Amino acid sequence: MTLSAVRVEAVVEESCGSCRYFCQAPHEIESQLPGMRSLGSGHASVRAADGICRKHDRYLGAASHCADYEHRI
Amino acid sequence: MTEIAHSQVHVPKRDSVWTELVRKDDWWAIWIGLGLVVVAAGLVANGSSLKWLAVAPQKWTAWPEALAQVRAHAAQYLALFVLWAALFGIGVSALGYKLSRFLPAFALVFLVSLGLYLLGQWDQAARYNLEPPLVALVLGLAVANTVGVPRWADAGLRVELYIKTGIVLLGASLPLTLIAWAGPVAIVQAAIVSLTTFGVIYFTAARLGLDRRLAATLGTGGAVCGVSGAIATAGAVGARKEHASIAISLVIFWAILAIFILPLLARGLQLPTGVAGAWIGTSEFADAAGLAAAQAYGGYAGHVAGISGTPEAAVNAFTLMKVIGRDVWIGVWAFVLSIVATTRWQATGIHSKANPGEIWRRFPKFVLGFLIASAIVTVISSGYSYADYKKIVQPSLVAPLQSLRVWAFTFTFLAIGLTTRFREFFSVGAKPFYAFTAGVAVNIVLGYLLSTQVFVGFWTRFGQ
Repeated sequence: MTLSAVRVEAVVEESCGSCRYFCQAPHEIESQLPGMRSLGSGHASVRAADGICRKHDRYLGAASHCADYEHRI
Repeated sequence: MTEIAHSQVHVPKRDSVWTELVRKDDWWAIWIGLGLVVVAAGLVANGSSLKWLAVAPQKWTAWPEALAQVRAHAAQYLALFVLWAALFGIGVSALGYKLSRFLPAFALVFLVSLGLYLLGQWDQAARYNLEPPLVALVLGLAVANTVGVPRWADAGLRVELYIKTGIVLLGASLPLTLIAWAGPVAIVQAAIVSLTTFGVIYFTAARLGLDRRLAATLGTGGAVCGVSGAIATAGAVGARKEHASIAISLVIFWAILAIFILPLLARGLQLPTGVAGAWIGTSEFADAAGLAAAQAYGGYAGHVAGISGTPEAAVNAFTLMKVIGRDVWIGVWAFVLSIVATTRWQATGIHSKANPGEIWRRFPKFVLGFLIASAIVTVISSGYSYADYKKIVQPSLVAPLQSLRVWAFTFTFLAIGLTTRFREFFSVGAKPFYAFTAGVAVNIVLGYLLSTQVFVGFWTRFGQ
């Protein structure tokens, strides 16, 4: 096989972090979890890259994955 | 014909290190807090000081005297407002809030905080239980739960940004040697209480038939670091969204109650400030709430008969116990529970892998700022004799930073009240409430026994 060009395409792993059902925005997290603003923060380091899965209604780490993944456009 | 081979490299989507430095309030607390420490140190090195800017109300006996004080220092208060508005304004803008919304809200927070700070300096304040943290909280709660607070004001009510900045500034008044001396005791005491409280909440919840992920989220919320603990564990174990909400509501409910209960109990028992601070640090659920309780109790020293120790000791002991003893371990708790969740608990259809990197990613980074601030002032102080330290370093460097810290804490206490809505507590359900409350009871009793019996000698000495 002759390869005149090799393109290495980096695609985002099919994990929650790139799924369209996954919401990581701090403002959205704070509005979805009442009370979080008063003694916590959506911008805190302890939250890492967690977010809310709208499909499963769970609060998850961004590296999680499942069969319902749909890439966020 | 050219043949093109597609090689797909799977890379996880993650914010870069640089993005984290401007998108997390922990880092903004470090930039703001450490920035102030470095500037203050630089001014002292050049024979100047930050004290003109770090203005604070002084003791007064009658209202006309208080008003005259404010008028006389109006330019300084205005300059201080500009400083805080600029620093926090840059921070909240980077966090995604509009400056046009932050500024009016913060102006109001600053003005009310000035009134509260002034009230605390009234020579009869302790007699009428008018400790600024408690008054700020009650006032904020009253406004938020009656007339309400408009959503646009959220930008100026960033509790965590204010409290973390205050804790970084607090590092400047705590020598690193003291942290090294008291830290191990704080870690041991906090570990005993954290493990016991977690066990009580988790196993009570399990006995009541609650989901294991909810039990773990409730457990870390009560045992480690309140809302931050609950949210970190919820993410690590993949809890249901409503479970995170339940844990957050219960933490806030008990944390707010404990702000009033713990200083009241400690006052009734006439505990020394260092001992009370250690108890509050062991038994409160959130940093901001605990600092309100500890600062309120510190205010009794010298004003309420039978309470010994310095006002600073309550806040210092609290911070060591809560921040060093409990907060810094949240990543470890989350990591361990994520292993348990993936290997022992019922599958949810969502797969995740425990990753030790989470320990650092979830580490509350503002603690680094607290330790660096302590190291900076400790190194500077080591170059002075004790007499020169009291004459130069204390009034020119440490005192202005302490004053700025009290301002940051006052913004925090007011913002807690203004962002807490009682109606959010009503939907938690009886079983989670029972499980969490069992942990609260054990936590408070065990924290009391460890602080006032087992380690009482240590915390009494710490307070002196």
